Amino acid sequence: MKREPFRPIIKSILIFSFLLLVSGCWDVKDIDNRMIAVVLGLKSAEDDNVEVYMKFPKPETMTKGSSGGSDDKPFIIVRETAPTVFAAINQIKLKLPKSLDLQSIQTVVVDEELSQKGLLPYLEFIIRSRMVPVDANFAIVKGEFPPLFHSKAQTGDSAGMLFNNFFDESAGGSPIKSNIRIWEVYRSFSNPLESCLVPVIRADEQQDTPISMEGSGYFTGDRLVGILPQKNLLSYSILSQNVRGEEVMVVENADVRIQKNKIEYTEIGLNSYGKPHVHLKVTLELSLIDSNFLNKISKDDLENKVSSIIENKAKEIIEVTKPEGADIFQFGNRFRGKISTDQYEQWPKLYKDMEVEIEVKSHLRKTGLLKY
Amino acid sequence: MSNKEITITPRQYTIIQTVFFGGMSFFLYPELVANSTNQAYWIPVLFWLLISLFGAFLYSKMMEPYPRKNIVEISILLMGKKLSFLLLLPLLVFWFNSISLMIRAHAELVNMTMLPMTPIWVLSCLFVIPLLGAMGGITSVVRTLSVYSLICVPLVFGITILGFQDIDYYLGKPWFKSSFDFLTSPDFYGSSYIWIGFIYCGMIGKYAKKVGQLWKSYFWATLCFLPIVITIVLFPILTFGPELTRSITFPYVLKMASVNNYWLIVESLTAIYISSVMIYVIGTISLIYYCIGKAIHNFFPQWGEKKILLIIGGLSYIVALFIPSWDWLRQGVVIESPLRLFVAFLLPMIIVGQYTWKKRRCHK
Repeated sequence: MKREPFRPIIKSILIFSFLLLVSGCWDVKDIDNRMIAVVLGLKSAEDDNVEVYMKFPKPETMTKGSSGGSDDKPFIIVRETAPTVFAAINQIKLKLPKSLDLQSIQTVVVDEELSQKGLLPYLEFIIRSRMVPVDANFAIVKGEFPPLFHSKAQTGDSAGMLFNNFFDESAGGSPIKSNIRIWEVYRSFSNPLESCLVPVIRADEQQDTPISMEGSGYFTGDRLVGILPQKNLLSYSILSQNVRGEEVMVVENADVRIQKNKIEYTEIGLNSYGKPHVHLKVTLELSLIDSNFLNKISKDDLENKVSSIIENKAKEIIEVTKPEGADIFQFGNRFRGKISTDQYEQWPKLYKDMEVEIEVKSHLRKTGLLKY
Repeated sequence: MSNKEITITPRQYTIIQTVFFGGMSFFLYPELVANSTNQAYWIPVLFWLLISLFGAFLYSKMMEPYPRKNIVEISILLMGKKLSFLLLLPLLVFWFNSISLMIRAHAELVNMTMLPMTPIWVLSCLFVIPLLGAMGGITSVVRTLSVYSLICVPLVFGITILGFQDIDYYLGKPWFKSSFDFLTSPDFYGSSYIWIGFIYCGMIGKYAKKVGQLWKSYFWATLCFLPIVITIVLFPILTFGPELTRSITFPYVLKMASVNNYWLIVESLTAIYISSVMIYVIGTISLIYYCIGKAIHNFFPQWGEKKILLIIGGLSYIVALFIPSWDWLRQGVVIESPLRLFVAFLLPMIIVGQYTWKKRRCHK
């Protein structure tokens, strides 16, 4: 066979020409040609309009350190009002010198009024278009946006990470702050058997710590119907198994740390009247942090006291959410298979008549370096 | 290398089938299963698995009496060229459809998730890579698939393990109760599309030493991939709940997007997951190209094999561009089900029947 010297060359040129297709040239936007938003805020405005806030960190100030003494803000806030979120985003685009990038948004906040109106129309685009990451944090803001958005964090967080660190479990998140991600919110809107608990924040009076927890909002469908006070949140976390050994509970006579909690549903089902009924047992393991020397009680009494406090607070939460049909403990999901699928839609009604028995047992596992 | 020297070991067959599962099951499958029933989601999965084992058994029994012959050669031998062309036309049409659907589906997927501005005609050009692979012959296809699986299987396993976060087991309740409501759902029959990897053994099975044992390779592949298939179906359901999963176009993609780990170096797990699955897809398409090219070549030996492949490649690209929408494509997979079931089960039965009938007549 005659050798053709040019064939391998032509072949390799052909093969490498395919690499041109791989580059995805249509979507090229260099990083210095983008405005990367990190916080998105949605606020209800007059005439059913929505006001969209965006926070962009300034890269050059981030390298110098945001907590420097200069008056320069380490971020830019842009806002626009329009009938829909996207109309507002379009108006924001009209003002921006660079391409708008929503892919790195860490936190989405909405205001109380918008949440009361129903959030589904405003959040759908996040799941559908994947323009905003679905694992961004979500929170409701009580009060005005500007103090929250404009305050400079002095805690060493770069402009974008402040909200994220506030909620993230690996940073400032803890069982006494509720935290939720957008996909979880969206899931609870589409699942009739559950409701979600969303953190409610407000701007703090002290400038150095810009965010402060106000409570946790509970939803019926996609509407905010009430806010649980902050003090009840630890019991909520204990009953939905979120506590991981760092939370301190202050009881009258001593302070205890919750090391571990275990939840067991001993009964799930409909009772003879057709009403849903659950019985759950919670077992807590405690360690003593501080005992009250003046007013010391016996070990057993302390354990019982902790149990009864948690039990009562949990009952309080259930009594508050029941009339609204907001099943924040997601008991409904445990009734899958126990009630027929046609009844799923009726769950908020069923939940109103639900009987919940809670039994909390605590056990003081250790007393620290001092004996009890 | 002439065809006679080529042999494919049972292990390689297992790899081929595993890659096929990987290429098929990640995107559309969970949504189809979630839509087909509302209890015990693993039952439809297991149902098709068992049926497909029977199909694989049928195929290997069909091939057994004729070692070193593929399905086309067998049927030509049994009933002549014209009749067998009529019989096998559905198979060719089915293969051609699958290629076009796959090219378009994955172009659409990349478009939805990673490159929103890139036109579909560019993304559909992914057909070139598998086409080149298929032109290299079966050995190059098989070797490439083996290398691919070395890269992708660990990646997919890692991604699966990461997916275990945010799972609520009670969202999948009832686990052990089913009214078999899925039997009436068209989506259930549509979901059979990942369980027909064995029909490609009709073309490439002839390179095995023991053709009658081919179904065992398929069995091992299903066994290896079963945990992954189960997680593909259950992860979105246990994370988002069945109600939301039913309305998501690509449940597993959203599941990957929802994975959030502080220590995870990669910002977007979705991109990594899609890239590794795309490699499976490319492998699968190249296998189908090879099969369809070889089959047509068997019918019309006067045409060159590469020429046939080029024409088929071009045609499938054009058809892929003509698909109007994603909904149409999803419906296509469901509507295709009768054809798929015919090809997978009735076709080998007809050939086996023909063979036993002929043998009996010879005895007389």
